[in-house]
Amino acid sequence: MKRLKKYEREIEFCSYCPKLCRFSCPVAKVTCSEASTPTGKMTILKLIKDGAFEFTPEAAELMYQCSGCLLSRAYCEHVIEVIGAFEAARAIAVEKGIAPKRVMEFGAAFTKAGNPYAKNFGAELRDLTSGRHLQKAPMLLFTGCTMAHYFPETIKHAAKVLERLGVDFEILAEDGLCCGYPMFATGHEKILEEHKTRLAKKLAGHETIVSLCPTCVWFLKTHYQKPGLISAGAISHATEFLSTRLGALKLKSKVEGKIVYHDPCHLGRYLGIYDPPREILNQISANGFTEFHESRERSECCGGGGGLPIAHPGIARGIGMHKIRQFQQLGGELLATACPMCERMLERSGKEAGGVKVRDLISLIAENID
Amino acid sequence: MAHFSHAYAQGCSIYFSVASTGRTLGDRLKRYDDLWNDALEACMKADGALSHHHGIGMLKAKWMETELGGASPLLKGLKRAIDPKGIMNPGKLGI
Amino acid sequence: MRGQECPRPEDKDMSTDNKIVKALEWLGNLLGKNRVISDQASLVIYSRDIFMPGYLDLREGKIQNLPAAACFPETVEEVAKVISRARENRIPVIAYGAGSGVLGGTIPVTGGIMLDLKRMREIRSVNKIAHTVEVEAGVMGEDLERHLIREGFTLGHFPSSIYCSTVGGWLSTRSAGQLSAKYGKIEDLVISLEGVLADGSVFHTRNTPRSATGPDLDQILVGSEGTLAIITAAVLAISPLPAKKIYRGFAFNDVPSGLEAMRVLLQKELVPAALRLYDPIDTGFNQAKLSGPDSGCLLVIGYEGANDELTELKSKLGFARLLEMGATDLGEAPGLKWLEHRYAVSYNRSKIMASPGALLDTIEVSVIWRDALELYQKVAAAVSKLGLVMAHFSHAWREGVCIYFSFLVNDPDPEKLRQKHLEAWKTAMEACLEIGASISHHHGIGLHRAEWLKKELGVGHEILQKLKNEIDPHHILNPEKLGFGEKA
Repeated sequence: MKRLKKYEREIEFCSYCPKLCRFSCPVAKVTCSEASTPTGKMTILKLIKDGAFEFTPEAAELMYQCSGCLLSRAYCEHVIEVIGAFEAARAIAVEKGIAPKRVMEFGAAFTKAGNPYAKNFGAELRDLTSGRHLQKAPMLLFTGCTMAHYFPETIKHAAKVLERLGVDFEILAEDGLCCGYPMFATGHEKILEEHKTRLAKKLAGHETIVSLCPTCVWFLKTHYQKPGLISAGAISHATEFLSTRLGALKLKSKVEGKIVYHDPCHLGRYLGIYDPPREILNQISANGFTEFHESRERSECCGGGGGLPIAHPGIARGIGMHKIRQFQQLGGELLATACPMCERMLERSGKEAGGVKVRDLISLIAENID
Repeated sequence: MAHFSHAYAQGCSIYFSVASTGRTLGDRLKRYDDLWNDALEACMKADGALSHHHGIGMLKAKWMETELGGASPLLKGLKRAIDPKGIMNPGKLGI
Repeated sequence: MRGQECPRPEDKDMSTDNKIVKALEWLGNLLGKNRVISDQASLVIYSRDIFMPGYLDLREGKIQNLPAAACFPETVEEVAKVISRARENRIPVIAYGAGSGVLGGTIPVTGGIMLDLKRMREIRSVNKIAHTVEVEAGVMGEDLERHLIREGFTLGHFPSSIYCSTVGGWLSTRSAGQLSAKYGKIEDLVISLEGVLADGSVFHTRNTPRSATGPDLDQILVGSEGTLAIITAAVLAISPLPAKKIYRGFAFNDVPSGLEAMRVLLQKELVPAALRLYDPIDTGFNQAKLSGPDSGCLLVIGYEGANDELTELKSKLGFARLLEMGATDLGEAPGLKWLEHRYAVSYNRSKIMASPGALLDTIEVSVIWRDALELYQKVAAAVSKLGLVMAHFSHAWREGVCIYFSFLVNDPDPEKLRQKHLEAWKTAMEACLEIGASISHHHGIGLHRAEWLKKELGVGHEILQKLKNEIDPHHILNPEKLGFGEKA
């Protein structure tokens, strides 16, 4: 329980709070259960921390009911981020072997492949770029595993855009092409530590790292760069990298239709990147774009973060549906975002709602240049 | 004829005045009853309230069940609770 | 688990455990297994609302009052089925919104089923001609308000719990929003109700602005805290979104002069939207950011409305009147800051409660202007012997005002702390009864105020108790709340 001590302030403040972030929690919006709320989960943790309630598998289930979207922070005068305490609790749950079965299996599967998708990404990526960009270069394009798994085309698009800009870069084509966040989020500390050691070696010798995935950017910054595991000076998301360079590209056409932009939680609230994607959209769209009812610091989650799709896939889908319904109410024709997990979640929920066109900004750029 | 005599942000009171006649007293009474029946049936169908400010008394009593929209057990329960022998103004309000 | 005790009603036919097992079975059949939860961790959360003794239990690691299950109906018909079955099986049902009540109104003291209404969360329609919204009981306040804003309207109901309370909860407790002077309390906004009576019958009261069709049944149910019926939806009056908001702060030398100014504004047709007077301690403690030290009593006033000209004129006349009555103009800043941070005060509770041996609670009461100062002074003097007490006058009407006391007491001994807490409440409640004020303005009764409610209502409570016995003879609906004891 030492791990929980670190989050004493959060646990105490949230347990005694009259639930002031209550309405904002996307998980609680889906389950409707009071136990799923940030206050509910923190209260259970307080009782566990104080030795008044046993850390049962049922309590562990609850600890996994959080996408780590940080939206509740936007409504908290104490600026509390609840996810840290839940991550600590998840690590305890895994260690005790009381984490949900799906989570335990997820860890085992990850260990085998070095990524969450049981795939040989090394070979796939070498094929994808026809052998180009595999030589050592100062800039590393870290595609992230989710992009490589679900949207390999976007990687091609990113390569095209960078080539047109004349950037010299290397694509990391490794089986273990995962920053490790999925293990971090689900409490698999040991697996994560081993994975980090392996990946850090691959990341050595690059001055800058650009990723197509905001989760990777945040995780590489906080869990590799900050503790000094890697030497890269700058780690940035593709939208940051491209928003200032887009002027050098000649657009042959512009994106038509009513575009609505979804702020990925890891890009927005985690990294504070709100304007670069919007600047890109303003440049490449024919008629500008529309915001969701809530955007930027108050943007609502897609359901994909925090290992939620692994531990509670039904809740994750429900969160995505909420977002899709809003998109449809707004009369949107194209849902633009800048995160492969958001794209995946929204596309899947969109399918259930009759089909929604979801695209990454990188693809939208690539499709409108020669 | 009618005038709209009380108005609120949500709606208003319609105040109908009626005049009619008939050959015999029986005709006139029947016309009177028909008129009330038709008017209040129409009111109930249109989701209006039976009364804006004159009340229910005996005249409108038989429509009270509909007026209360399923909540009559509450009113009847209240009546039974505080006037179990029904000695207070019996036969009014449809309870 | 320590200190777990789950008292449940006596039953001759079935053991309690058996009854719970059965309840889980029929609930699962009625609603589907995924809409019934019964794991201990979740039930611990449903065992408390934000009633202070529950917080003290939490601090002391005490777990009690676990319900048998929580269930999530989605339609009024499903609610009716649950109620009917519960009645047949003699098992209590406790209507639950978001659990932010401060008086224990949703604590399952006799066990039973938590009827969580948050899956009834549809905003069915906004009628732009009649200026009404039809909304289900489980919709969270902030979600409703944001929806209405997008439609060009406002409910005008802004309790500081708006982020953590539901429409059903508001209706159950007769809640008040911070702009009550303009928009009224929730009972003033009710046009009609949908719900289920204790016998399982579904009702829809008439959707009309006013009527003369017997006693107003809506008004019997509003404030009944789930003891007479389950409210599943309501038609509420809405207002056009205000185009103009004019907020300002003024300072008065003392409470009497501030109170007098409030009364005059309300009675001289200069009714604002927000009108709040803070006593010197509350001014310094909570509103320090707004007004600086030694500014006497802060008065926050705000006019808003859809008609710019009218709003400006009213504010001009209102502010002039305040100056005539000896106020010092503090400018726009304190008013705007209040507006921006108006829900912030509730966050203080965490800071206090996280320090062992301390507690912060609030008591809101209602009193006519003639007696307001006397009640304020009496309670403040008595409670200050126990700890720090402060007050603001948070809602004002032509006839009187709500006094909202906040008090902070300390004691390293948990038992003594509880005693001090109760003592403070007792003092305030007895002062109300003595003066003829009402023991609650908008938080309701729940468990905590039950005994004082009986004294306040006198024979009125006997009538309510008889009504309860008549329509809910087995006391299935939220037992022991509102002072409804065992059937007489």
